[in-house]
Amino acid sequence: MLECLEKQNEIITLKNLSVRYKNFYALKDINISIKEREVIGICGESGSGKTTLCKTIAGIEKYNGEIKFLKDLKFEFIFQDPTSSLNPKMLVKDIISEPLIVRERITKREVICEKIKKVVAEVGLDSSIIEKYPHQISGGQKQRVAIARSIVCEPDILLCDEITSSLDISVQAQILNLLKDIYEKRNLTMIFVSHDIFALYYISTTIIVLYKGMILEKGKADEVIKNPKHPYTKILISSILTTERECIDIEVRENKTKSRCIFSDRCFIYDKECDSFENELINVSDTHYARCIKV
Amino acid sequence: MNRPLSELIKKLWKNKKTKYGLIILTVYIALALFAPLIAKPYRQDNPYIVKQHSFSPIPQKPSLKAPFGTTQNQYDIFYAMVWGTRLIFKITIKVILISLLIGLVLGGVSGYYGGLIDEVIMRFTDIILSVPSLILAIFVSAVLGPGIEKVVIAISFVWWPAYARIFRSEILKIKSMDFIKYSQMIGAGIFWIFRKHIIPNAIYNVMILASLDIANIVIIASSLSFLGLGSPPGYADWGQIISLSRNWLISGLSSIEYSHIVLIPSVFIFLFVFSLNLITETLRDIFDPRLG
Amino acid sequence: MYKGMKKFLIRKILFIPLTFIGITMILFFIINLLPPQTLALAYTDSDKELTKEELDLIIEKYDLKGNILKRYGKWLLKTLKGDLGYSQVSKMKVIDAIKKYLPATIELTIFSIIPIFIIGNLLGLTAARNKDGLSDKIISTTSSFFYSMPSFIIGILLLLIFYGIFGVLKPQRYSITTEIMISQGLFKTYTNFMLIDSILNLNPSVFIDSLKHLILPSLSIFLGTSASFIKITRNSTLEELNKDYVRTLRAKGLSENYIFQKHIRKNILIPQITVGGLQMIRLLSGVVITETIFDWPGIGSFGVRAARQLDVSSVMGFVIIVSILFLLGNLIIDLLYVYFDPRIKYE
Repeated sequence: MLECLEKQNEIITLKNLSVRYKNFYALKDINISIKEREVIGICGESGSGKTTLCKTIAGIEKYNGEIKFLKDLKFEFIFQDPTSSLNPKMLVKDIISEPLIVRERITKREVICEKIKKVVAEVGLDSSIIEKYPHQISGGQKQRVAIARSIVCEPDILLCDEITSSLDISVQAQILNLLKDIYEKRNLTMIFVSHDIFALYYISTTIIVLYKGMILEKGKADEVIKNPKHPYTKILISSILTTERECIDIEVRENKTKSRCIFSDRCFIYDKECDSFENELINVSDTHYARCIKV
Repeated sequence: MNRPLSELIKKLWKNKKTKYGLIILTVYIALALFAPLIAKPYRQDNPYIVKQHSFSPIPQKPSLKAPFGTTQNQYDIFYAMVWGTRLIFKITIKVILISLLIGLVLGGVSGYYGGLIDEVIMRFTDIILSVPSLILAIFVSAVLGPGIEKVVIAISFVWWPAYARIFRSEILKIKSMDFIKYSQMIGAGIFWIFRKHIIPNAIYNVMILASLDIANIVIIASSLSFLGLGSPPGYADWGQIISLSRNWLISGLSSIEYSHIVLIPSVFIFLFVFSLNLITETLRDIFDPRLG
Repeated sequence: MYKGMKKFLIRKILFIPLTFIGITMILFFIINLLPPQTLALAYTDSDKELTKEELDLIIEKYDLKGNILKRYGKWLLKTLKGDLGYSQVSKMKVIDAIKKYLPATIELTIFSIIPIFIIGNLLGLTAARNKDGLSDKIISTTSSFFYSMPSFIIGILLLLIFYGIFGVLKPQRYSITTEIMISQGLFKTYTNFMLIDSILNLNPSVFIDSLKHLILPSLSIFLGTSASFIKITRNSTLEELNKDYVRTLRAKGLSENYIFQKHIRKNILIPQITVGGLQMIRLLSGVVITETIFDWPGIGSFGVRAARQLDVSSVMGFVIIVSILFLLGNLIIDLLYVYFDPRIKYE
C-alpha cells in the first residue's frame, strides 16, 4: 500500500458513467473521483468491466455520462499482452521512440537516443536490448519495454491493464516493484487493473472492486483489504490464506432472488432483507463505500 | 529486410530444379537488359519494331543473316525474341506495380476503415474476380483500343482485386493487435500507422502472391497479344510472332520446312514460363506452412 | 429435401442474378468511358460513314447520353429481353450471332470436359496406385509440363504436328464437303451440334468428319487444363489409401479393385469437384484461345474478332454470355456438392 503523499486535487471525475454494448451494460453507475498522485487499483473477475473502465478513461471507448478532466492530461497505456502490444517488425529502440516522435514531435536523433538510454536503464534493462526485436527477448523484458515506452514522454496518467497477468509469478513481483519505483520517482497518477487483489494491495492507494460492470466496494486500500464490507470482496480476499486475518467460511451459493442487488445470486449472506435493497452504494465511512444492505 | 531476401535466394539455390530455373531466368534477364547490344536496334525511333530483311512473303530458314530464321514478310525471329523479352519484362513489371498500388490502397482502406466502404470495395472485387480474367481483359482492351499501354491497364484492372483481398485480410488480422491501438491512442496519423505498423506486417503475403503471379501475368499478356489485342503489327512481341506463325500454318502453305517459325518462338516462350514455374513451385513450398 | 439443403440452394440461386447485375453494371460503366458517337456505331447496320446528324439521331434514339444510372436500368431491361445491339463483325444482331456461335463452343467444351474427368480420373488413379513408380512419374511430370505451358503454345504445337507436318487433322469445325452439304440443304442442322445432327441425319461420314475436327482443339484444352484434376485425384487417392478403413478392408480380403470402385472413388469426389470448379476459369479462357488457334467458329473466336475490331457491343455480348456460362457452371458445381456431400444435407 502506498501512502498518498501530497495534498490532492481531483484531476479526473467520472459521473454516472455507463458503457453499453448491444444489449448489456459493460459498465453502469460508475462514479469515481481520481485525485492527483493516487494509485487506483481496480479489481474484478473477467467480465467485470475493468478493462472497459480502463479504456474508457483512456478515451478509446464510447460512454454515456460524464468524464471531467481538471486540465489537459497526458495518458499512457500499458497492455496486458506484451507480444501483442509491441510491433514484431520494429526494433526496441523504435518502439520506445515512437511516442517521442508522434506525441512530442522530437526529431533530433541525439535527443531521442538520450531519452531512450535513460528510460531503458530506469526499467532495469541492459542497453543492448535496444537493437533487438521483440521475438528475441523474454516476456518480462517485453513488458519492461512496454513500460519504458509509456514513461518516456513523462505522462501524467499511467493506465495499466492487467500488465502482470501474462507473466511468470516471479517476474510479476519484479514488475510491481518496478512500477512502484517509477511512481515514486515521477509525478504520476496510476490506474492499475488486476484480478489479483493482493497485487493491488501492494501498489494501490485506493481499491475499487468491480462486478458485472458495477462498483461493489471502493475505499482506501488499507480499509478494503483489512476491513472488507462487501461479501464479494471477502470472497476475493479469501482466495489466499494468510495468518494476518481471520478466515471466513464461505460457501458457494446459487440463489434465486428477486432482489435488485446485482450480487444476490451468488451471495453467501443473502436473505429476505436483501429483496428490498435498491442496489445503491452505501457509505460505510468517509472514504469507504459498499453496495450491500448489510453494512 | 535484406537478410530474409538473401536467405530466400540461398534456399532456392539449394533445390536442384529451382537452381536451373534461376539460371534460365537470369539468361532472360540478361537478354532483356542487354537487348540493344545483342540485337542492334533496327530503327532508332522505336527499337521494338522488328527487323525486316525484305518483304517476300515466304519464311526463311535460319541462316547467318538471321540466326532464328524469319517469319512470313521476313520478320527476323531472333530480333523479335530478344526485344520481345525486354517488352514482356516491361509489361509485367508495370502491371505488377500498378495492380499493387491500386490493390494496396483499396485493400488498405477497406481493411482499416471497415464499414460501408469495406463492403463496397469487397463487392467490387468479388464481381471482378467472378469473370475469367482473360475474358474481362479482352473486354477492357476492346473498349480502350489497341496499344501496349492499354494492355497494361487492361491486365492491371483484372489483377488488382486479388492483391486487395489478401492485403485486407492481413490488415484485419493486425488491426486488433494492441500495438495498433497504442499508436491510435497516442494520436498517430493514418500514414504513420500504415507506414510503420500495417505495411511491414501485412505486406509479406501480398509479396508472395505477387511473385507467384509473375508467370500468370506473362501468360495473359502474351495471350492477349497473340489474340491481336496489344502491340501494333510488326512489333517485337512474342504473342504476335506466334500469331504470325499460326497464320502461316493455317494458310496451308506450310510444311516441315517451315516448322522453325513455330518451334523456335514456342520453345523460347515455354522456357521462360517454365523457369518461372520452377522457381514459384519451390517458393510455394517454402511459404506454404506460413500461409495458413 | 432437408431444410438445410433448401436454404443452401436458395442462397446460391439468389446469388446468380445479383452477381449478374454486378457484372453487367461494371461492364456498362466501363463501356461508357467511350464517347456516345462510338457507341452509336453499334446500332447501325450499314457500312457507310454516318453524318453527324445521323449519329445524333441514333444517340437520341438509343439513349446514349445522360444520367448513367437511369441508362443502366433501361439497358439492363433491354439486355434481359435479349436485345444486345448490332454486331459489326458478323453483320447481324448480337443475339443472333451468339445463337449462331454458341453451339460450337458448347460442343467443344463438353467434348473437352468429358475426357478431363474420365481420362483425368483414370490417370490420377493410376498414378496413385503406382506411387513413385514409372507410370506415376510419367503422368505427373507430363501433366505438369503441359499445365505450365501457355495454352496457345500447346495449340500451335499440336497444329504444327498434326496439321502442318502430318496433315491428318485439320482446323475449323468441318471440312468443305460438309459445308457444301449444309449450304445445299443436304445436311440439316437441327441443333447445331454437329455430332448430334449427324446422328439425326443418319450421316456417318459427317459424324467422323466432325470428330476428326474436334480432336485437336479438345486435346489442346485437355492438355492445358487436366493437370490440376489429375493431381488432386492422385493426392486424394493417396490420402484415402493411408486411412484405417482401407487397411481393414484389405485385411478382410477384398480386392484392390473392389476397394477402389466401392469406396475410394466416392470419397475423393468432393475434392475432385472442388478442383473441377476452380478449373472452370482456366477452361473458359483456354476455350477462347483454342477457338482462335483452330479457327473454331464459336463465341470465343467471335469475341476475339470483335475485340480486334473494337466492336464493343459484340464484345459486351460475348462477356455477358461467358459470365452466364460461368455462373451456371458454378451452380452445377454447387448442386453436385449438395448431392455428394452428406454434411450439407444435415446442416
